[in-house]
Amino acid sequence: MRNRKWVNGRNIAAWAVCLVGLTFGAVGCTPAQQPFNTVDVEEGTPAPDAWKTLVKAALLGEQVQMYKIKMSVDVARGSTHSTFSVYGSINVPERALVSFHENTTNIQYYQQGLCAYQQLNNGRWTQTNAIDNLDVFPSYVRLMQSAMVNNIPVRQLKDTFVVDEYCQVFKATLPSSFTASLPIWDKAVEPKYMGDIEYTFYVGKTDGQLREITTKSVESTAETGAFQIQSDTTLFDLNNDRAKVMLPKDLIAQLESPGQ
Amino acid sequence: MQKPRLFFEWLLFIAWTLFVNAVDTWLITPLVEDYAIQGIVVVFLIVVLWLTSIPKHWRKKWISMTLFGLLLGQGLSDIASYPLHTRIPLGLLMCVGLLATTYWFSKIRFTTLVVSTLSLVIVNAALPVSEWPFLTHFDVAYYGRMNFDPADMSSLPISVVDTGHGQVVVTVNNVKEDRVQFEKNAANAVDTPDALSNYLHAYRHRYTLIEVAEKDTHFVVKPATPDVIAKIDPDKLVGAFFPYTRAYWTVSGNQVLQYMTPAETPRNFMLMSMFPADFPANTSGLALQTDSRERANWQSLLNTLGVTPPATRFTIENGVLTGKFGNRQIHVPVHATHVLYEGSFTAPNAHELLVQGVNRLQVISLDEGSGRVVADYRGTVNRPLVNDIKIGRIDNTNRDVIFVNSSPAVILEVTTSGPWKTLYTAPNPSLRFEGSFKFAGDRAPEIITNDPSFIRDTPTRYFSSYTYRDGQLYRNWRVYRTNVVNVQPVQFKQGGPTYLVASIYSTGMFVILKRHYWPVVPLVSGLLALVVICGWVIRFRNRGVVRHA
Repeated sequence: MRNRKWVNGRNIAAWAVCLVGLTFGAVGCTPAQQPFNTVDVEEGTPAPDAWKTLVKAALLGEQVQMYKIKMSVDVARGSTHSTFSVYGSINVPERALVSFHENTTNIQYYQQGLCAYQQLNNGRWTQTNAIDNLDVFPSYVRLMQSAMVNNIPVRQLKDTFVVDEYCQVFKATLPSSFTASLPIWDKAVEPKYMGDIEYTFYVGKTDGQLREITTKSVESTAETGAFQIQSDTTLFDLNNDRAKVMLPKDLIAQLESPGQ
Repeated sequence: MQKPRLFFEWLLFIAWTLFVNAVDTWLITPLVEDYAIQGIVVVFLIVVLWLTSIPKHWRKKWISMTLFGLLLGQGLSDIASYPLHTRIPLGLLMCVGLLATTYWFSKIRFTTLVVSTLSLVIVNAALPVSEWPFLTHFDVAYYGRMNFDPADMSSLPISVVDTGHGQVVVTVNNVKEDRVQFEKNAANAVDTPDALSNYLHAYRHRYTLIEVAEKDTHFVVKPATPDVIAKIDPDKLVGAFFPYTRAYWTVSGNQVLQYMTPAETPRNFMLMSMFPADFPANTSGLALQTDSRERANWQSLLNTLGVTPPATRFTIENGVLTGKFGNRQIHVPVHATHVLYEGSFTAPNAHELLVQGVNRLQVISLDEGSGRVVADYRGTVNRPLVNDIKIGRIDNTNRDVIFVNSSPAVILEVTTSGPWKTLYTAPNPSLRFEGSFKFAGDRAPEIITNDPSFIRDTPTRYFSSYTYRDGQLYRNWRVYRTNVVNVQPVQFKQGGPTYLVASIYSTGMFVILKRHYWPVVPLVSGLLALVVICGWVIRFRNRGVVRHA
């Protein structure tokens, strides 16, 4: 008869609600109240000198000899979305080993000097043309300098951790008219329908280095309609030996015995 | 006397095995998943009430049988998505093992255990216990299992196509590769310089387009016919990997095959990654490129099949909407790239088009002259207007509202002046609108959502239905099934009932659902209460017997 105690317990009202709710499939409930983790554009404080700090951080980045990159780009269209990830090491200016992943795509790029190889989805390496000046920082320097000249407002948010460093956080919305005027890596894939882009920059408090950059925007193609793009780039192991590029073992094996 | 008694025992045990699985999916699981600690306490209470209601001399058998039923039901349902050649040996092992253990422990008649096992096997073959949650409010008219590799795409794509005499559902099915046929078909890969290598890489990752149609009273699955393929929107097939992976389509015999490859070379991805400040622009550009390449490939597929896609009524080119409405020529400059829907937005029975641009929606009235823009709405970076937009009705007036699945999701009503009226803003970031449908027995349209638990603070979403009243959504029902995606209405026969089709995330399963109005949960709760009460009555009587003896 131990259950008697439970029946007479204080929570009897909760049980009643629960049982009635369950029996009738919780009819009449409204959707759940839950906190949001996205923040409003208007939060934070205006930071008029932020572009100076940011340009300085990006220029400092150009001095870094080796680092690791971790990037992800999420594209949401309709109810489905896909995520493209990039991971690898860069030794400025001509050495890198970077892998790319999306669903069943697992491919790599390796370069030392003028020798460049790409690994296709079947695991085979093929020779390709080397890329000049392997470095991600110049693209940020260019963006920030243009934004500074154009006096685009920035807001500073609460400091936060990125990997192992406490960082200052800056947020700015760059209008599409501005971003569309920036040069693009390949004319063949020039975008046509661009929206405003919200950038968030994380700058290390002690070393003043650019650590993480996120973007959020809506773009469109004529046929499919609008889709949302969110990208996240983390730069870490700056000038750390862990970021040293090594020749991939399977590339050595493949080139040693060309008959394979 | 012996035979009817044995038969009665079989019937009782079969009924109980199925009943405990029903109680588990319809009562116990929802309590645990949606009602947090209160739910657990109620489950405990139910278990205690039930346990104490079992007469003493039945206790061992009854509890063994319950555990046996639950374990076997769950186990068979877990392996339901496995391919047949692993499902059969695993299932056999499970059945024999559990049967032997239960027999050894409980000494329930062997034949009784065998028939109970068989009943569970048969029921699970028809519809695995994991899909039973739907049964509280739907008949599962068809349960589809496709071969599928979750590494290729996150869920089965669903495309509903109007054939002119009813609709069919189009999805994909992984091809069980036949080496000989595969090598023979390789000779057909001629479209692009890399077609052959792309084709060969995709071994075992190729999908055939299939259609599901209703024939008389049952459903048939067959390779999609050219006429149906002509009407598919290829976007529906590529959403799960667009734009960094692209799809190819080729014809093989009477089937259309789809396979995927990276959209660019590693070198170009590397080049792109060296300009991370421009990821939005680069991705947008890549999307245009992937989109146009896929469309060119789709067009050549249609040419090969000798079919043409149906002409679209309205098109937008270079910022001008053109088309024909009645006998009037429509010609309107718009800030849009894409026609979303033809409906009634500003007033009931108005003839209007909803068009979408970058973070922008416009409504074009077709009722006068060459048409004109009557309403305009802009999203912001934080409240983006992605193309995850559903159109439907929330009451019985013939006026459409717009469900925007941003975070939070909102319901918008179009107004001709000023900002559009936000009828409802979701109170949590995870709520998703799947659409609004009026089923045959409904008084008002049901707003179908996937939204999180009422009490627990988790983003896990359940398939639910609400009615809109005075700025608030009130729940009609909730099906305790998660991972329900790509929900779309489908009317297999003109004038026939409206079904819902949906795929289950990261599995090769899809369901075709037909709304019913049986009070399943109250019935099962009542039955459970009855069982407990009967048990108590029997126990009370037996105790009396013992005392008087």
